[in-house]
Amino acid sequence: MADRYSRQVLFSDIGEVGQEKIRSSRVALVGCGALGSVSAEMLTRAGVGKLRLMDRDFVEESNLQRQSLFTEEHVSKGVPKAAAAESTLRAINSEVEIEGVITDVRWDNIEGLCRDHDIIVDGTDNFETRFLINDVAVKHSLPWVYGACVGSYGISFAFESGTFACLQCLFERPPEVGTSQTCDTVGILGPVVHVIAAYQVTQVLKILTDQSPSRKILQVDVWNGTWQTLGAERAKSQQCRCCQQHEFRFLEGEETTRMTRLCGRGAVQVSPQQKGPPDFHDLSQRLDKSGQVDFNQHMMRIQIEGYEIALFADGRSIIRGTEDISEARAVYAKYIGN
Amino acid sequence: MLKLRFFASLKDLTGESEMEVELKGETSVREVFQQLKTRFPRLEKYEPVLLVAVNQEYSDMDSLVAPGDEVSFFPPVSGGAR
Repeated sequence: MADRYSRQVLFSDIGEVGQEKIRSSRVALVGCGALGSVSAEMLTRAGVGKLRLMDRDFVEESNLQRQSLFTEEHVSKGVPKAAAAESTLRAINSEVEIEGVITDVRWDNIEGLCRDHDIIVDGTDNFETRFLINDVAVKHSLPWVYGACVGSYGISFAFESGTFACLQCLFERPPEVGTSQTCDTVGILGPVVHVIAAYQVTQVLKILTDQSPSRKILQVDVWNGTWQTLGAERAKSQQCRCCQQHEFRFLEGEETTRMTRLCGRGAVQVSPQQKGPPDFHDLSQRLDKSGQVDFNQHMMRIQIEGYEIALFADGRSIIRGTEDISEARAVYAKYIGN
Repeated sequence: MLKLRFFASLKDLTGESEMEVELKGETSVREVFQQLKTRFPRLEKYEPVLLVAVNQEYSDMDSLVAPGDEVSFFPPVSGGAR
């Protein structure tokens, strides 16, 4: 397919040389929801060499409005997002090495997952993971591109922490619960996802082709038609604990929660320290009498006493039907155990 | 006068996307924010995590502003549109 990238190569700031750099690049994408889907598709079509995408969740009907890699079939089969994205992206561009990893990106696995890449792209839905990405990026001198949206509003910025600000220069710590709106409480408009993902991928292509990304923070409200960029060249903090003092508190697990409330979704995620593939056959026999159980190679779904427990092959569970941590812990202990 | 702009959830919280406030002379963004908090007490919890821009340049609460300047406040946005 010599013609495949011809229009991108014709774009003079990329050209043949730039395309070759893109082709030999390795991109790590953390989170494959709406932003992650759209970014992954653009990166795959642009012809990156390798794309590793990581996600902890499975495809649900309410995703289809904006998460462009997923279909109704993925919903009905309950396919994990990383697996669904991998198969869709492979059909789009077989030249790209696509690797979907079904996992919860955490302090104890993020370095192994992201370190051997040229750039990290943010498709996450929470600040804790972004602070983790920031720690890894600063520690290993990797660029990363932040993107987030809610309602009709989105924001993005490319971090190259050596000379310029890192995330902790902008925000000393993640916001308290309740200070950031979520897509589950105020909704999300599909178009703003594409605007933010487009900006993120543009910065990725510039960085991969050895060109400076924008030093401005983009913020946009597609519904109200406001579009503003903020100069951030002077945002680097000389007191930053991360990029100045090299304290990687998130990466060292000091800021980690094992039980994660999935706000607005009526669910709690449980990430056990001891991880191993659960025996789905054994569990299904055990739980078959008390609830409804379905499973495939990736995950198991248990409907029991008004809760739905999704148990993944990496040992993690999402418990729907409560946002209360201790209640979720009890449900987990009762039906899944240690 | 000093022009203030609010984005995303802060716009909902204040009910305005922008407003003007009286400013006698040079003062800090923090001082402006303290006055805003008396009018909108729910702004309190955002104080440690806000992004502040003065005249479209990234700034912080200690930055000084003067009449004619424009200060924008942005909340943290975390959604990845799960």
